[in-house]
Amino acid sequence: MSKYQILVEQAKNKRALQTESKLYQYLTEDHQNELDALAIDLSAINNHIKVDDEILNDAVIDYGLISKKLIKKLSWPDESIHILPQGSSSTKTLINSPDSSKFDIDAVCIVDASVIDVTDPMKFYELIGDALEEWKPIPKKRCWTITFSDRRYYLDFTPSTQLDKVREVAETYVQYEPGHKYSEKALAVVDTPTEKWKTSNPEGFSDWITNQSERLLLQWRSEDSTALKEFSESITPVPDQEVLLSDTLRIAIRLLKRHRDMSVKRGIIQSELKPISIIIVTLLTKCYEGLADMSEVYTHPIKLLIDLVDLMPHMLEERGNDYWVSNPTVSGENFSEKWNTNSDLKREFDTWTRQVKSDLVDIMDITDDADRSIKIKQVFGCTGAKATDPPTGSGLTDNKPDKLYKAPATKGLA
Amino acid sequence: MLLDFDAYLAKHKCIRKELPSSNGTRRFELKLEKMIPERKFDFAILEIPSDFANSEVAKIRLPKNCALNIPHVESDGLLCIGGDPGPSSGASLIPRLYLLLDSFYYKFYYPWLNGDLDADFEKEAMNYWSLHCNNILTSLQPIKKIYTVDNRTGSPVIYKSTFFDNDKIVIAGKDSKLRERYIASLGKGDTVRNVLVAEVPISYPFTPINYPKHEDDIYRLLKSRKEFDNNRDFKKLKVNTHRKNHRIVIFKAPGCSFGYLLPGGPPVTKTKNRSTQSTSNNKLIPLKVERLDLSWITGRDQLPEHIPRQNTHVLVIGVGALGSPVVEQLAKSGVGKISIVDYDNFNAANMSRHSLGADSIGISKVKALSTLVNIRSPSCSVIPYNQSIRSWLDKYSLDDIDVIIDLTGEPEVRLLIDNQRRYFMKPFLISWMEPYVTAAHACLLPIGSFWLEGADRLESLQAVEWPDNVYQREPSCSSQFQSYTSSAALYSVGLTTEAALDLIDGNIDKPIVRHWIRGKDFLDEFHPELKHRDWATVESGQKGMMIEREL
Repeated sequence: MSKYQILVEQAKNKRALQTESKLYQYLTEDHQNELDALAIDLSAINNHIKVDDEILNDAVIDYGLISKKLIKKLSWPDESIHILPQGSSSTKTLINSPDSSKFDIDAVCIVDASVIDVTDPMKFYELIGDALEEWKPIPKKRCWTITFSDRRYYLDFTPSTQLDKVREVAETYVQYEPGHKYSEKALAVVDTPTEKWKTSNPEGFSDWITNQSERLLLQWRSEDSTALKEFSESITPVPDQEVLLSDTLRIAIRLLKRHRDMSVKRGIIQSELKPISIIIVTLLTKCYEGLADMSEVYTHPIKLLIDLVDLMPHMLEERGNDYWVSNPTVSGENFSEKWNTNSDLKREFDTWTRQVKSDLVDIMDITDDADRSIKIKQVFGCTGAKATDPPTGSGLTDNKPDKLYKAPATKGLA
Repeated sequence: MLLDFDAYLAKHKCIRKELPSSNGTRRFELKLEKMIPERKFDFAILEIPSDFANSEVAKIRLPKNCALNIPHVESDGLLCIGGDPGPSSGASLIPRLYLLLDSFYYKFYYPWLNGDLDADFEKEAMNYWSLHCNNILTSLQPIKKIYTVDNRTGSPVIYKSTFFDNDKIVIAGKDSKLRERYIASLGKGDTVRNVLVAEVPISYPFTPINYPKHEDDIYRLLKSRKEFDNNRDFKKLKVNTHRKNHRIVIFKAPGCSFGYLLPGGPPVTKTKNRSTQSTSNNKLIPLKVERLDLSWITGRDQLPEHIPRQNTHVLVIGVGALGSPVVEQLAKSGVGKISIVDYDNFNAANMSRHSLGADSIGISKVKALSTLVNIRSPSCSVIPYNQSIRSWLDKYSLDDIDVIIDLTGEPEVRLLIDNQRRYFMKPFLISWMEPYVTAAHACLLPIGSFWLEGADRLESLQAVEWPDNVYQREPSCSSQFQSYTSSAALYSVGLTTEAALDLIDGNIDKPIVRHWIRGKDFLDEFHPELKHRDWATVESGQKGMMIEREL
């Protein structure tokens, strides 16, 4: 049995012992109508919250521009910098924030080790920071953050270089080893609190998500459900082979991240203690991988989604007295390390996962369409419903004023 | 022009039929697209008032039930999106209408249909909360409003606080001193009862879609906080059969708060037509919350330097025409404690320039002023000393004073304090006005710098050459002292208060003097021979100037 298969088995056993969750019943009983309705709602929400490719393309252009300027400024050879998206932008799980505020787009800036002094990671980190001066970068733990006033995103720029080159230098310590899988894609980044190199594997992590999400768990045919088939056909253009919610893993990630953000807005969890995205992504993907290893088959995307959500909290490992969410691409790295020194973080995770399940049960239990729409809006901050773009011929183009008129300031300070 | 305007209305593709109207306002139905059920509203009416051309603005009205379901809709259905710049913008009727319709469709209607306005409730959270509370408000409601005294903290707390039965208001706060001062200010002899309060910090303001609707929603939010695990007070709060005290919960987001009265509590009695009705509250009632914490009342959360001033103790010597308003201003600026020393009683001749009024004639100035400021600014405790500074110094020490301010104009006082400062290292402000308030001066002396450099320096710092026939000190044996107006003195109040705050905030590291000097025409009004000293000459055409020099 694979290690995640074992974890899923254990998670199922833990779930069986729990009496509070009603979510599981929807997997075993016949709730076709509820499942179809939820699939339609969640698909619409997914479309609403995911970040348009256009924005990601803009970010890629910005990164390219910055790297070109860096090469010029540092007088490095062409091709000495390679930019690689990381985090949710590379795993295609980036979401809009509920209040439309700015979001981070992460990228690693891989610099050819031959042009830098790899014995001194901080010198390398500062060198990149200095070269980015014109964008007024803000130093973070492992990256530099750049803000553009006219963009909806921040760019997190992580300086890195090839791990093997760093390790070749005698006595250069690198925190963590690359994981067994995807080890050839591992990089060295600068961990500024410790002022040391640290192994990172953004490309490996992204590949892991992609590889797992491509594994077929869903054998679902739209003709099984008339409602869903009709809905799928009503959204054009939809490629013939595309099935509603077929990319279930990524959709589960996006929905849970959104639910977490909304739980903060609703006052259920606190902003400074909310579960970090990397933990949600890792637990869900491990669960997906374990289910795939077990050759599980789902006949409805919502059944798979419910199982992922329901099992996800139980995928957390306990090693001795410590909680563990291991990074599958960097050996020894524990994403939940802070939980072991701050129990509030684990408590908040538990509060949130209980809320996710309770909200999904509530949504499925509501039969009235209007009430259900209100509940969905409360839980996800949107109904997913979108109107068409504004028509251009609304009559407003005529008689447009030829100068800007402003209402005078009606009040002086008094 | 009006014909053009009528033709514009008739031809406009977005303006449908004109509707009947009874008050002279012309009303037109606006064109709407087919809307999905979640975002649908039944109509949008363009309202053009009868005096649209000269004084009024056109508006757009939606059904009343859109309020709290769609952002920017007021309780009467009016859309609050701006648009019509009004007659004073210089725009004629057609461009004004164009801009209104443009705002309606492109800043409101299509963004609403696309979900782009969904986050807008959060931006004006308190307005919508107020609307929500007003919708539910009834005359039998036991509590109508909560005032919070404490700053928002990181952890939830439960405590007993105070409730005024007649006014139906709660003063919520754990800080008993500050709370008691607000009770004295707001209570006005009302019956005081206890109320159980839970304060819970939340990261973001609530919006209409996630307002807690039921008692269980409240407990779910409280239960998610570790502080309430097995908390005895929380268990008390949850007792639904509570008859003795009301129970309220306040959710505090950064910048705004949301209150709830839980069901239960003592019944409310109401007498009507000689019969008394007694009703127990059985609903969850939303309550408006108004902040009285220092960060809000002194600077609307935008002046963080006011907070440390709460721990500052200032000594003000002399509470006359300059001192009394300066004490008021310091209290409003967040200073936590002010000791005021003056042996004088308030009399009729002071009335035109002093903070006190007719109700204080014959009373000690310090006693009347401390009562006034303590009631008006409860975040400051003003302590009166009806005596001379010399006798005050015999009894008390400058040791626990942070900044000393002399507003007497008396050389003896300056001398006395300056000598004391050789033993007690305290910053010192000396401020005074010249006759007619032709000039005012503030000497800022940080620790280690002294007023006396051989002789008293006041005369050398004055801006105007005074002839002998102008009294520069109020004579004790004459009533001929030249008067000045309260408004003229207010310039020196501002100068002095700002100087005091600079010393309090620790912004001054070397001795300086600041001057406010009126222009020559102001001097000429009072005395033909008056002239500025060379350094203080105000350029012709200027009404006054403010300068700062090293001392």
